[in-house]
Amino acid sequence: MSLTELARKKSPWVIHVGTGGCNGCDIELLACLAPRYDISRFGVMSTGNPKHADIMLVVGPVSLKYKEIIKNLYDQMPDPKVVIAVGTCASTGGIYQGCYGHCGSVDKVIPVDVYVPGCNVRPEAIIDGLVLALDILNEKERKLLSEKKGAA
Amino acid sequence: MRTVVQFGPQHPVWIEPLRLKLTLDGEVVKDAELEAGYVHRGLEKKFEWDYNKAAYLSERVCAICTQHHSTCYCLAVEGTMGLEVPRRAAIIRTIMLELERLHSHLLAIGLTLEAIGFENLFMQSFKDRELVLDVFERTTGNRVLHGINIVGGVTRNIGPEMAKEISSFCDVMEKRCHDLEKMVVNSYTIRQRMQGVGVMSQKMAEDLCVVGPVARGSNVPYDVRAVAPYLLYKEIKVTPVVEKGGDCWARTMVRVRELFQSIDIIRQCLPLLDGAPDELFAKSRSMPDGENFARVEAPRGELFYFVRGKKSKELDRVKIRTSTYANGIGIVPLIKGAQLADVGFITITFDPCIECFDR
Repeated sequence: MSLTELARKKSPWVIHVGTGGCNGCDIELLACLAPRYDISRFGVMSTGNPKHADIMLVVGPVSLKYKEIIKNLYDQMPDPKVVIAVGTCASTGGIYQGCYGHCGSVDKVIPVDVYVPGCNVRPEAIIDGLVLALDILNEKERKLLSEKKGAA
Repeated sequence: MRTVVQFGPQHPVWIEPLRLKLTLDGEVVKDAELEAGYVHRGLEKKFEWDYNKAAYLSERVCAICTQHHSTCYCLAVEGTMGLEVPRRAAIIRTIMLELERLHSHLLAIGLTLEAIGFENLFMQSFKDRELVLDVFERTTGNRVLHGINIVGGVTRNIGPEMAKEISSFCDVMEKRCHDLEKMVVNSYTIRQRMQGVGVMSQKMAEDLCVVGPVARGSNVPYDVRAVAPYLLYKEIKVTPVVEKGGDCWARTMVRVRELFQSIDIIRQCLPLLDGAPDELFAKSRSMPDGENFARVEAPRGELFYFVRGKKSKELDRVKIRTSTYANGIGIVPLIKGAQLADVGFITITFDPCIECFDR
């Protein structure tokens, strides 16, 4: 395990993006930060700045007005990056399917790596998704490194 | 020199998107412009659906006050059909409403304290909130979205064992809330930080027609539970909790004191469950017809649902006026003249729920 890989695994920084669900998954994400499901014991740190983040947690279906902003946020994140769609709405559109104000699931706007289903999700599921995302993050890192080596 | 700062839509203070365009003169905000609509999903259109399933949809308007939304919707639809809810269902709904208020206020207090950088008490209030969510999980099977309300009654019962459990929960919760109250009230730092910040005078509150803890913090004793009682509040008398200051401190103190009020109401409701017959659901003989509205005191203030039926399963129109929609108008005048560092803090004491705001 290389040093960067170890560092990523022990301290992923996440950015929380709420794009217009019902708040249910939002407050479960907050509950993850609270003492009961304390995710900071895994080194997960919540940041407000996309330029510092490794993982993006997206909650809710992407509303039409938020489409550009979430693309912008995604582009600002440095490589390697992972996107987790938290909740049924973020994964498929959920109960809001057929509403005119949003464009459905997150993967229609930005590429999604991990889907966490549930309406609303339980904090355990979010932690599970985060752990899954860490492996994907490392895989992407390795891929980037080998590409760099191949170019050189 | 004037500078323009974009505050949001993605900002760490808020968990939901809201944009403020601030014109600054040094550190002081000279002008503010509020833009919402980032989470507009078009839910009101979706309500033209099966009226019974729409009770679940109304929970998805906002998950922090789900029970209030679905109860208000159900009350409005039941009014169009002339349906009387069984007594036990009314008691269960009332208990759930007050539990919902408990968890929502704890969340609001925690986020307010986090906005001024008091991480420890934020964690403390969230730890207490988990106890409420445990009760929700034991009674309804879900932590946040309960799915317990349907038109005509409720789907799940609270038996004698669960009633005992809730009563012991009330004892534990009261002690925890006292601890929290002591820590907030006795802290010199919190008091200094909050008092005199974002003052809304009584006249301004009356002029802008704000509702809920924002109005009550400015000495306006307006509480739907007292003014227009619904469900079991016709029997249980509720006196509105009022603070005189009108600043961030007063708004937070209203929430802290309402915690004890909610616990008290739950305690009054629990013995009523014993005598009530085991009937949870009244079946309607007609379809929703005509217009009706219902009002409910959500944790953030008055919540209003208007329903128009057309004698079929689908509803003609549902109009929602949420509490944040009424309160949102008060944010901008308070921010004008405030320091830039207080902007996030003042908005968070309004307890804004943008998902309600935009729908």
